[in-house]
This record gives sequence, structure tokens and C-alpha cells, in this order.
Amino acid sequence: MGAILPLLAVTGPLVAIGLLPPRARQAGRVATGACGLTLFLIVAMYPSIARGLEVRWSVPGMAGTPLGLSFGADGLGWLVALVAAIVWLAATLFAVEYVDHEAHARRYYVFWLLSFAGMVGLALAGDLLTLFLFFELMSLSSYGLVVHTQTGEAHRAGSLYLYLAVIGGLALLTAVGLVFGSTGSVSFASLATLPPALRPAVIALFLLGFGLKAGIVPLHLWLPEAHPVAPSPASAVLSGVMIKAGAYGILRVAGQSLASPGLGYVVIWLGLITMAVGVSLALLQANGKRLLAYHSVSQMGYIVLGIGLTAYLGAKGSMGLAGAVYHLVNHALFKALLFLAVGAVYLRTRELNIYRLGGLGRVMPLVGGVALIASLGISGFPGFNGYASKTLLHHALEKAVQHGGAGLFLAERLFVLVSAGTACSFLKLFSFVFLGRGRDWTGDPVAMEEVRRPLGRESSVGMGILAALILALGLRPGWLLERLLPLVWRAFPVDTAWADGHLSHLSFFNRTDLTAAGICLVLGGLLFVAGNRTGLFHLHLPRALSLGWLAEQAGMGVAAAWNRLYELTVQAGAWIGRRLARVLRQAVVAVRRVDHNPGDSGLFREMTVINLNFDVYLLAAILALLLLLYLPFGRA
Amino acid sequence: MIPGELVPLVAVGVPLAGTLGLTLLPEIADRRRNCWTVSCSLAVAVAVAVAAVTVFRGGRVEAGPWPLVSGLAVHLRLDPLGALFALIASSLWVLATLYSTGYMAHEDHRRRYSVFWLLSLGVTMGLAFAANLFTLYLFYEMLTLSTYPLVVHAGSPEAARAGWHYLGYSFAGAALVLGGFVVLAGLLGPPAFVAGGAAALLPAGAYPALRLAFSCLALGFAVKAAMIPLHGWLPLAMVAPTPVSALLHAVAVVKAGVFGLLRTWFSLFGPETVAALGMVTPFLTLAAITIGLGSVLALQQQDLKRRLAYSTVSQLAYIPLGVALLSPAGVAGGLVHLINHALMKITLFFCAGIIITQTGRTQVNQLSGVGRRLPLTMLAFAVAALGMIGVIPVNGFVSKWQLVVGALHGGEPWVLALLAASALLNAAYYLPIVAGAFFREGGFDPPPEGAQEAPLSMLGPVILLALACLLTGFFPGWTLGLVRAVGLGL
Repeated sequence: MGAILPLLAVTGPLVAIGLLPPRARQAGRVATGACGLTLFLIVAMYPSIARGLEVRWSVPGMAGTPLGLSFGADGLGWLVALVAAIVWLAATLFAVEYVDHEAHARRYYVFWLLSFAGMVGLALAGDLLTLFLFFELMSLSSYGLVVHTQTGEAHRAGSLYLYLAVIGGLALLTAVGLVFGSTGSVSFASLATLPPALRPAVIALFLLGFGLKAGIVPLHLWLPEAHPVAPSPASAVLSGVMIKAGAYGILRVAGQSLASPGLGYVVIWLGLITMAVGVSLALLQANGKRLLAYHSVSQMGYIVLGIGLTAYLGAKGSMGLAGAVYHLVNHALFKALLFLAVGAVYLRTRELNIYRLGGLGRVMPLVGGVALIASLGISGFPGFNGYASKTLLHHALEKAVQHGGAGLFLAERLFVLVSAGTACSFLKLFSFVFLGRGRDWTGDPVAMEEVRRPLGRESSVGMGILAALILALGLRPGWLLERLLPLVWRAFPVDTAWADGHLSHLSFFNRTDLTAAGICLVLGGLLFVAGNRTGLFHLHLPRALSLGWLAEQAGMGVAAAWNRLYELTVQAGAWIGRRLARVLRQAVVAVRRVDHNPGDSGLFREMTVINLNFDVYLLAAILALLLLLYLPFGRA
Repeated sequence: MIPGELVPLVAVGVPLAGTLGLTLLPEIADRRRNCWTVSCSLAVAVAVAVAAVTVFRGGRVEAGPWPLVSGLAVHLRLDPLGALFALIASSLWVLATLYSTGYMAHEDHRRRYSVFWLLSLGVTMGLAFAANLFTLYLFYEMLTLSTYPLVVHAGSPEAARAGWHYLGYSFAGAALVLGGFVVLAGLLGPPAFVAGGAAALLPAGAYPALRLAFSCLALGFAVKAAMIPLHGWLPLAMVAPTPVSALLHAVAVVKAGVFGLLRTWFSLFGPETVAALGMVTPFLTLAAITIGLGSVLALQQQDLKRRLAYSTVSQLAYIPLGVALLSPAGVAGGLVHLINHALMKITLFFCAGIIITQTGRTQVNQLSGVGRRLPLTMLAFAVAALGMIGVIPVNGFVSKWQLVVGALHGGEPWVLALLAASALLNAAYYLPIVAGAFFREGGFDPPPEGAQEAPLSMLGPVILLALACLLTGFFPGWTLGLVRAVGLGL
């Protein structure tokens, strides 16, 4: 019975699509039910997972083809699925009210549930092909969420998203194809038996495919465009959950080869660059949702950093791994909650520019409260969930510094700076939106009325679930490490005994760690003051520094070059055709002169080669091809 | 059970005789004529199905030979490869006939249209049943002649121009086939189709002449298969009524060219001989260029049907590509794409036809929001378009997967990059249509009386075909099993 649970968890949302009623609120409730059911099924898998069993269920493929489905949840996959279901449930609850204000509600829920099924399916996938299938399902169907508002901005972001999603999918498919072609199997274990010559190509393709989804710099360009234009609940799951599919995929395919210091060193810096770029751009944003999206880039950098540290530290890498997975869970919770809170503000004020808001804390105390909890979480304030994962990552980084990697002490400084930047940025977001004197609404009583209207019960419950989890994890930071994370590192080639001994009983509230977190927060505060005084937050970077602009220019250049080439070819073809036709015409006239001049007969006059409009161009091409193909191979 | 000699005669003869019946009906007797054409094509489909079952079980389906002059004989015999082609063509012909009854209801010259429509069916069946190169060549020429009136059906100057090009290209191709036939006949007598290749036994001394014969035959059939640079007629022929474009220029005629290539490759020369002749690399290169350039050119088309036409150019070349990979998985990929591409492309063309008749719009950029007006049509379009890109679970993925594996087994890993690039280009020219149809506003709100979708005779085949695309994607074992049954050293 237990074996069929993953299949049920995936098909539940798909079945619910067929049951969606046309009215927005009812559709939202059906979707909520589907998410709740899936969450229940995932929780029900816990007993088998805890006993270390894999819940495995396969649809047999055709003999000789791998085209079957295989589900198999281990600790990591199950945890990702669990987090996905929790966040999705909370966001769906919020969506019931939010989407009621949007057009095309049913269409929205169709893509909502499709991408949910994709997300759960990819987390519970038991082989590479199933993982790819559900990754594609999620990737492509979340396009429907990105362009849902149908504004010009949404379409621009959506197109960029769609093409990059297709490129990423193709990279993954090619990688899976390479694995199957060379090992004859698509199981995760077959990755270990890859021929060494193919290994770099396969790893690069997987990194490209999953890195695009995870928004690793420089593959992040689409993310700050696409995440904010979606309706807020969709932004919450895009930024909170779906982005994790990339990190999950990297962990999944890298799991067997996660003890390689060289690769680890590269990935550490990849993570740090992503963190730094994300946070510096986030500081310059005025649009609240864009700010959050840039922070998603930055926070994914933390997770990538953790993966890099795992590889770098080898058998003792479980610290980095625990940090990465812990942060994956944490980021899902607080980023989703932040998007929901900003969405709630937008729902009432129709305003996303944080500089034009203010003082909302008094009007919307609940939203202000949960936004504060989430902001403290993401800033790594002790007592909130981000603190634990950031401390773990910091520990792992310090361990790597002790290992003596060149320049890694710089990496540690950068880590502190990024954490300070994060704190500063959320101080900014929270204070500009919820504190201060605020916008003067007195001139517009209708808008004032709207702003004062309390949120619906479902929205509050949705946000409350996430806030409660952030607090619970923050106050008992060791709980996840004792209960769930051991299930994760069992699947990786790390020293399990060491991990169980060192990590499961880690105390987070000691003076060293608290001081480290305090330094980050104080630095962040100072940065905020400095930024406010100097106008740093309103800095506009020159366009030439923007990767997106450069890529766009390059793309336009290539397109222009191709068009020019195409025109030239067409013109050249036409010219050759005209010349050949003239020669032919002259030849016909000459032949006719030699011949007995049949021009008097009407029938013959019509039947010249010219009137046949025979395509000389074609004739020339065939002759040339025959020569081309025949001559080089004519030797006996 | 119908005896083996009778089936080929039914398959080829019924449509030919059916045209005589059509000429007896007056122009206005639409209902009777439609019934007649549909029943004729249904009869052919049933006969072919019976024949295919017999052949796959190892039985004989043969008629003739009827000698014409010394040594040359018309000879009909079905082998598994022919059965595959005949099955695809005849079953899709039934649906296309149904569709064209709906589509042609508002066009002129319906009787002429039906006559040549049935004639083309008979000729295509003749191609599939041909047991020797001479018979194949005869029907190859006749196919040009019987489809020409369908191409120029509109009678406009543009149609006339397209018609001339069609004739010019096709006759040039047929002339090349004839040339190859003459060379081969000089070497081994009138060549019959033999599994493993009739020319496989020739000594190495005959190779230069064999190379010439292979080049002529391959290029001659490549004209109908629309391989670049011999593709010029196909986009022009899009002036034909849409069912003609769908069936002839996505399925029957172009597939006849591909079928000729397969015959040349497997039944005349045999893969080993082709490899020994050193013709694999040029063939593979031609296919690769066609795939890449066809997709790029498709991207530049603004007319929906022309875009589909260039997509056909590109996608058809997957079949010779798979065959030229010289690995079982590659051949299976190529052959399975013969089925899958037929299903997907005919769906796309049928959808395009519905869009044109129901909304009158032909340009890609006019189709924003058309999904509001024609939801089922555009859903079917989306399914087929995703299949073209190769997205799971539509059948296009199955072919692509087989080709990827085939390329690895055949030692041609660069093909992976080509397939990825082509899939990306497919995405670039199909997804904007699909996304725009559903996610953009374009003044397509349904009219109040609610009559928006096409009549059932047009919509029904579209939905059936889209379901077929999905089913063959979900259960790749069906098509792959069929392809395996064809043999060809898989």
C-alpha cells in the first residue's frame, strides 16, 4: 500500500484539475483541498522513510526502452516534497482571496496544480527520466503563472522565461540521453558508472539545466524578471519552491560524486558570486517584489555554497550539506511568506514601490507582523530559522578555511558582508513599507477604506502557517537536525557517524555564534543608515554593466547578421537565376535560328523551355550536388 | 479472409475505380460524393490493415507481375516496410477525407477535387505496394500528375506559379530516379526490392557505377522528401487547400519521397553496401543541413502554413538522419518518426485549416487570443507543437529519444547538438503561437451565439489525431513494436 503513495501524491493535483469549478473562490478551495491531500499523503510516507526504506513504485516501461515512470522517495526527495506541499498549501490558501481579484481564475489554477504536480513528482522521482519529465512539467506549466496577468511586462518576462526553460530542459534531456546511451540505464546509480570521457559533458549539461532553474549567476537573468510579474501567490511558489528544484537536481545528480575538492572549490565561488551579485542588485531595487526576487538569487547562492562546501570537505562535508538542505527548507518558508506579505500589501494598496508606501504596520498589523517574522528569518536573527542554517554554513566555511584553500578567508569575509547586506535590505523593505509616517490616504477615502479592510480568513491562515513554522524552527534549531536531516545525509558519501555525532546535538545559542550573527546584523544596520544618507539605494548602474543588456545586444547582433546574410543569399540567388535565364534564353534563340524556325506554329511557340518557366536554379543545384557528391567518392 | 492477390488490387484499384463513380455524380451532389469518397478511402484502409496483418504474420500479399516490355513488369507486393507506409497513409487518408468534406464545403470545383483526391490515394497505395523499382518509378511519376490539380486548385496566378514549380521539381526528381534506375538495371537487370539490398552482392568493381546510381536515386527521391536545397516547391505549394497541404505536403507526397529513400537504402542497396560506397557521410550531412536550415527558415516565416511547411522540411530529415546513423536505435528512431511526424504534422495543418476557415487569419502575428475562440483546436495545436519540440509525453519525444540514443550508439555525438538546436528552434517558432493564442488578447472573444469551433467533420479528426499523438507518446511500445516488426536489422 505504501508504495503507491508517491503516485497518488502526484496524480491528486492532476485529478483536481478536472474538478475545478469556474468560479474563482470555489476553484481556490478545490485547489486547497488537493494541496492538503497531497501534503497528507507525503506526511503518510514518513514512517517508511524514517525506517530508511525507499518508497518505490514503477510503471514498467517497454522492453528495451526506459520510457516508464519510477517513483522512489529517499530522505532528501521526501523533505523537498514535504516543504513544497506545505508552502503550496499556504500559498493556495492565500490565493483563494488574491486570485479572486484576477481574471481567468480557472486557467490560473490549472497551471498552479500542474506545476505543483511537477514539483512533487520531481522530488519523488526514482530515476533520471522521471525527474526530467516532472521538471519539464513544472517548468513549462509555470509559464502560465508567469504571464498570467497578460501585461506587456509579463509577456516580455514570460518569453525570456520560456526560452530559457526550454534550453534548460534540452540540456537536461541531452544529459539524460548521454547517460542512457552510454550506460543503458537511467537510474541515479548509473551516474556513477559513466565513462570518464563523458563525465565532464554530462555534469556541465546538468549544471546548465538545473542552474538555470536555480538562478545561479550568470544564469539568473530571467529570475528577477519572471518571479515578480506573476501574481503574488505564484511568485511565492516560484521563488520559494520551484527554484529549489534546481538545487535539488544538482544535489541529486552530484550526490554520488560529491567528494571532489577541485569541483567543490569552483562551486564555492560560484555560490559566493551568486550571493554577492544577488544582494548588491537587491539593495538597488524600489519594487518590493523585484527586491525579493534578487534576494532569491542571493539566497540560492547560500545553498550552492553549501553544496560546494560539501564537495570540498569530502567525508566531513556533512556540515555543508546540512547547511545547504537546512537553508533550502528555511528559504522556502520565509521567501514564500515575504512574497505573500508583499502580495497582501499590493492587494490592498495596488502599490509595489516601497518608497511610496509606509506606515502600514498600524493599518495592517497582521501583515506587518508576519513580514517582520520573515524578515528576521531571512536576516539570520537568532531565534528565527535563518539563523540556524546560516550558522551551519558559516561553520562549514570556517572549516574549509582551516583546510587551507587559497583565498577562502576572503570567501568568509564575503559571506559576512552578504549576510550584512541581506539584513540591511530587509531593514529597508520593512521600514519603508510598515514603519514611518506613511502615505497620506486622506485625499482618497475609497482607497483608505480598501486599505483598512482586513484580510480574509484563508489568507491569514496561509500566512500564519508559514510564520508559525519559521518561529518553531527558529526556537528549536536542533529539531530538524535531529529528526529529518540524518535521513538526508544517509544518501550521500559523507561520514555518517561523524555527522550524527557532531551535528545532531549542535547547540546554536552559544556566544561565538551569537556574536557572529550580531556582527552581521550590526553591519547591516550601519549599511542601512549609510545607504539612506548617501542615496546609495537609488543608484542606477550603467546599462553596460548589466548582463541582461549585454546579452540582449549580442542576440540582436546575431539576428541582424543572420538577416543580412539571408538577404544577401536571396539576392545572390536571384541574380544567378536571372543571369542563367538570360543565357538559356539566348541559347534557345540560337537553337531556334539553327533549327528551321518553327515560330510560325502556335503550338511550338508556346512550348519553349522559357514558357515552361523551368527552374534553372534548381537544375544548376542538382547538377552541382551530383558533382559534389559523386566526384570525391568516384575513386574505386 | 481476402486472398493475398486481391488485396493489392483492392488497395490500388478501388480508389482508381472510385474516381469513375465520382464522375457520374453531378457537382451539386455533395452528400453522395462525400459518402462515396469516405467509403472508398475506408475500404482502402481496411484492405491495407488486413494486408499489413498478413504481412507482419509472415504471409504473402502479392499481385502480378504483369510484364509490360521485355524484363520490365508492374509488380505489387507488400513487405513490412511498405506495410508501414501504407498503414500510415491509408489510415490518415480516411481522417483527411472526412476533414476535407468539411473544409471544401465552401470551395468551388468540389468534384474535380474529389476525383484527384481519390486518384492520389490509389497512386500512393501503388507506391507502397510496389515490388520493384520500375513500379515505384511509375507511381512516383503518377503521383506528381495526380496531385498537380490539387495543388493548383485555387486557380489563381499564384497557384499556377506554384504548380509550375511543383511540376518542374517533381519531374526533375523523377528524371533522376529514372537515371538511377537505368544505371542499376544495367548492372543487375531490372532491380526488384529485396530485404538486405539487391545490390549487396555486386563486386567492388561495380562501386563507381553504384555510387552514381545511389546519388541519382537519393537526390531524385530527396526532391519529394523536400531536402534542402531541393525543397523549393514545398513552401510554394502551400497555396493548395489546407487538407491537401496537410495530407500531401505533410504526409503522403513528402513521405512518398522519404519512403523512396528508405527503399533505396534498405531494399536496393542495403546499409552495408551504402557504407562501403562511402555515401553515408554525404547523406548524413545533407540531412543535418536540412534539419538545421529548415528550422531557421521556418522561424522567418510569418504565414502560418509556410511556417508549417518549413517545419516539415526540417522534421522530415530526421528520418533519413536516423537511418544514416547506422545503429538499430537510430533506424528505429527514424522509422518511428515516420509515424509520429505524420500524426503531429497533420494535426497542425488541420488546426491551421480550421483557423483559416473559422477566422480568416493566415499570419502568425494575427493569432493572439485565438485560443479564446477556438479552445479545442488550439489545445490540439498545442499538443502537436509540443510534440514537435520533443516534450514528454507527446510522441515526438519518443522519436527524439531514439535518435539521441541512436546517435550515441552510431558514434555521432554531434547529432545531439543538432537535435538540441533544432528542438530549440522548434520551440522558438511554435511556442509563441501557442502562448499567444492563450495568453494574449486579440479581439477573439467568442460571439454571443456561441458557434465558434469548426463543424464536427473538421474538429473530430483534429481531436482524434491529437489524442493519437498523446497515446503514441504515452505508450511508445505500440509504435516502436510496429517499427521493430518491420525488421531492417533492428
